Amino acid sequence: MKRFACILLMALLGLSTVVFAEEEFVVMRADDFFSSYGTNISRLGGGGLSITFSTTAVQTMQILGVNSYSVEQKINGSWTTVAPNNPGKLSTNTISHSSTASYYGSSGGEYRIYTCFYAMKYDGSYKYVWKYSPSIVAN
Amino acid sequence: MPKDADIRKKAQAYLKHLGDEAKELSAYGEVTVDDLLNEALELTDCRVEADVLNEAVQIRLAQMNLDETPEEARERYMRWQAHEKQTVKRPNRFLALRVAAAAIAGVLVLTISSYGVARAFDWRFIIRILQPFAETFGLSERVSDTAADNLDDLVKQSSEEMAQSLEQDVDAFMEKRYDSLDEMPGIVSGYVGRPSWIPEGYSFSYGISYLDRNRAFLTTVYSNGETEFFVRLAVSIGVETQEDILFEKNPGTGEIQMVSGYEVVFFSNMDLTGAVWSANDAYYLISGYLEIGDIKRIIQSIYGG
Repeated sequence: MKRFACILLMALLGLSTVVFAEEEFVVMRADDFFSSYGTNISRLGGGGLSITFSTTAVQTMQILGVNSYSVEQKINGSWTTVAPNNPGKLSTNTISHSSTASYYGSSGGEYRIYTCFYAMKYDGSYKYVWKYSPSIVAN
Repeated sequence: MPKDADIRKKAQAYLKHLGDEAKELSAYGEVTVDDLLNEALELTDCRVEADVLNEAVQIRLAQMNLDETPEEARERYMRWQAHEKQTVKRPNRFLALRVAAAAIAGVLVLTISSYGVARAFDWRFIIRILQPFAETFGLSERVSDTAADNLDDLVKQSSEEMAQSLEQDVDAFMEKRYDSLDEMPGIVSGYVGRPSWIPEGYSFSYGISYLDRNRAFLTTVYSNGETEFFVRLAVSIGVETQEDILFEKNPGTGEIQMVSGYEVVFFSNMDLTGAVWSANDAYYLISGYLEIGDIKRIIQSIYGG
């Protein structure tokens, strides 16, 4: 019985791992909220990064923008969150959104951004999508 | 089946009870307490009850203690066992710890698995229930991005309050909104930002520009009263950047056609039609309820056609 319970728990844990892993791969598919979203990163020098978020919707949204974003750094070969859940910016009554953020890490560090985009229609329905940016080495 | 550790623990307790005798055995130099236990464990191969093993231990002790017969040793062991049974049971702290650890592990595993599944299927009700647990265990580093709390609060606000909340977030880089086409810039960094031709029935609705250190965006939105389409220009401003943008589209769509000398990708997203193309440091996106032929004419008009 104990073994069965252990196997069941391990299977559930494995399932959740698969679920999280799959979400890291953003595939192109139809969407009735967003038409595009992405992140642009550039170097500011001194370990600084400039992050530009941009997204467009399929129609004018009541709210559109970035709910939050996290900064990840590659440490010993693994991506580690170094600045989690930074609040993003949101725009109202718009079909497109652009905003900018900065992050100051260390020169030579490799970073990427994990962004949560958000859109809400006038009927109250809303949606989140998550996307990784390409990685960049700060100078 | 008793575990090796359990048997060893019980045997150790009895040996401790023996006290002087056990020390005396060690003094013989013939056998240590650990040797004795290992020998007994080997004999029983852990397939017997702890009591049987302990009996084997005490008999072995008696064999090495010339002053005590096996019967005497067994009798003493039985007295000790009777005394142990009469002793008031103390709370089993180890058992409590095990139960607590198992409960925490169970909550942890169920939270991870349920939360992951809820996220995968976008079951927001479950996500909201589990969010505090996930945050408590530090599991929601990314997942907490889903936390709709802030946004829910935002949604509950009136339009004025919402505007004030959003206003507090703005910094040096701000989107600028245009309600008149005349006020809106038409060219950004040498790139024409909007078409000179739009399909019949549509008119300018509003425009948005944005400029930061690296990028300039110009979005022009047109409406026919029922549906909208927009033309968006994004320009990189002379710095090395890493960019990755995803365009939503129906699977299997994405046809490349040459328009005005550019490779334009036409695709569908739900019932909308989109077109995207790059031109040096810029890319354009057109999206709306449009025919491909109309989008081609819009593109041609951007380039003076």
